[in-house]
Amino acid sequence: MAQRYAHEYGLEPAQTGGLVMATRQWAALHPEALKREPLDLDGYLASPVIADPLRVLDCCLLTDGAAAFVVTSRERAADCAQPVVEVAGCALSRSATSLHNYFTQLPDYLSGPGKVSAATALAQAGIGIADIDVAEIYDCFSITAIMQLEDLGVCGRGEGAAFVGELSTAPGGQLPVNTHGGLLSHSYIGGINHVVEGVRQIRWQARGRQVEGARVGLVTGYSADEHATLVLTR
Amino acid sequence: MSTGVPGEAGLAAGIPAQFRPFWGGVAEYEIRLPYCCSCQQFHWYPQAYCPNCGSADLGWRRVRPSGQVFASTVVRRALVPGAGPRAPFGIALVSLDDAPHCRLVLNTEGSDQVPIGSPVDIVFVADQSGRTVPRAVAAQRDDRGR
Repeated sequence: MAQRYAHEYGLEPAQTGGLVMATRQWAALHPEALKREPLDLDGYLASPVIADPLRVLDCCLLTDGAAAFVVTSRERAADCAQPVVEVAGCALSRSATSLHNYFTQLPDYLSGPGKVSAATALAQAGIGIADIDVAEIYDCFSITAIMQLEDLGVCGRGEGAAFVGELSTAPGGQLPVNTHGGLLSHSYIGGINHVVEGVRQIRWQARGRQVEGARVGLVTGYSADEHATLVLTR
Repeated sequence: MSTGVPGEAGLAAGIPAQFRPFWGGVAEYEIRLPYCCSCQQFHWYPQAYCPNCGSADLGWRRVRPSGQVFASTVVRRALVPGAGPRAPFGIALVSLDDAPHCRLVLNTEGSDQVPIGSPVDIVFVADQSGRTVPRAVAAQRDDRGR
């Protein structure tokens, strides 16, 4: 997919590296992230290539771990100790091409079912993608996060690489993404850590990495032919 | 339609049933793909039902062993058991000339990336265990779009 993306739109190491470095910057602010040491472009380029152009650092961690969240009624939540975070939108989508034939027959190779789940969840919440303050995006590989940024509508088709190459997802960037360090630098526990971080950001409990005044968060889960989008508000 | 193909007789027992017609074809230096007799389209990988129309009326048909590279890479760290010592090696998704909407995952020759868009021929070579396997090689032709 990364090679096809590079063929159609161009994809520089500094762009995939931009996403990886931005994610690491966030992880450095999270005491529980597994990969917290600073990473610059030279460090990224020194990472061994697994399959061109993806390096070790473009691939998620492998982690044993667990997390949990509690979903209840607004009334019960209001009676609990923590600030209420509301599920304003939640949508699942599945590609018409099944996982079985996904890589061999998917007609539009660089766009996934996230396009549908994101549009649906945002419509449920009654907002647009520009209203998002913080996003926790399923980053199993750097390229899959870049492609989802396009499917979500954060960037246009083919513009995701340039977006992350400018460190737009880093602390202080245009859209804070994976503020816990994501699957790339926090941990790989199936993405539930993205939900936990999304809730913490909207509760304003993310301490040193808090996106100031964040009121709307977006979380995604992704598995080739399946995608899920969650919109959290306070 | 797929049973009783001579090429399948010599296949290793470990090859799953749904892939035996493909590997039986390869043993006879042919590429055969699953074909839906109802909607008359190829698909890949093989399935119990046509992914296009849902029909179970499926068979196998020979296609020309040629296509175009849709995507390609060089594997430098092989994750498939036993493939480690072969790395680096090239692989490609190849859109077949007779079924452009189907892409075969194929090894390419050597450790250089075959550029996307390159015309390729599928040749048949013996792997280390002596089994016949398909391989994509850059085609010495310039007759795209025929």
